Amino acid sequence: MKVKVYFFASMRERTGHEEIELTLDDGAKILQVMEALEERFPAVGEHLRICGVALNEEVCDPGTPLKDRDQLAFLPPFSGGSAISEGER
Amino acid sequence: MNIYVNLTEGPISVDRLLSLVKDHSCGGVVFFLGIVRNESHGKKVESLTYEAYKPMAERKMEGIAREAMDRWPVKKIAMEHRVGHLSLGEIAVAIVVSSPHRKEALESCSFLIDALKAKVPIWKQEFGEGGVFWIEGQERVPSDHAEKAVSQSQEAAGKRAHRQQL
Repeated sequence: MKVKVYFFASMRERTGHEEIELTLDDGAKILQVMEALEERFPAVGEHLRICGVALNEEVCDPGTPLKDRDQLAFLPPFSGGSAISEGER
Repeated sequence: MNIYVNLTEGPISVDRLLSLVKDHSCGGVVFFLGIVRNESHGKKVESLTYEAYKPMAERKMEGIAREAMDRWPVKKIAMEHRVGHLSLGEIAVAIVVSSPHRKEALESCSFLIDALKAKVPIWKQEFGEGGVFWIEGQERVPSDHAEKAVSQSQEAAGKRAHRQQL
């Protein structure tokens, strides 16, 4: 199966891509995509793990299984993120 | 239509947004405007760019507008956010709410800007003192990875080719 992966902000710069297409084994999960990305783009390093993951535009868990033509996005913490902690304080 | 959301590369027009939310049943209109400021965490800022995951960002903006309408008796909501390069003093984000009375418009507008900042996938890149940085949560990430990434992915490709040869 094939999935599209989108990168933004510093992740786009670390990978050098706005989007890539990956071919995966059937039943692969988002975690497997993360492992593939870490191998292909060493500059990504630990930063991938602090990104949120969106599957077809909804935030989801890295354990989620993928299906053909899914769209995956790795989202660095949002720039307005401090508002969360202010709101929760 | 009672909800309008938009990401735009062009300037935000306050007049246009006002015309979108005006309603004869509404005695109160509240605006929040976020403006590009010349300082961030004690460092001079000269300009900004905003980058968004556009389809998800617009969906999330619509979602929080619906949530506000469920929580407060407001009539119309318009939210617009810039993407691309902005100069000091430009409007980066505008939120406009109309309601019969002021209290719910004030409260929901405050909720909307907090929710937008927390939930909508938009990233800010600051150009200024000390260079160019992505603002990612509390982190200021130097924006100099583009060249590194290319050289490292070439290295990784080299390693893969080497393994295949072995």
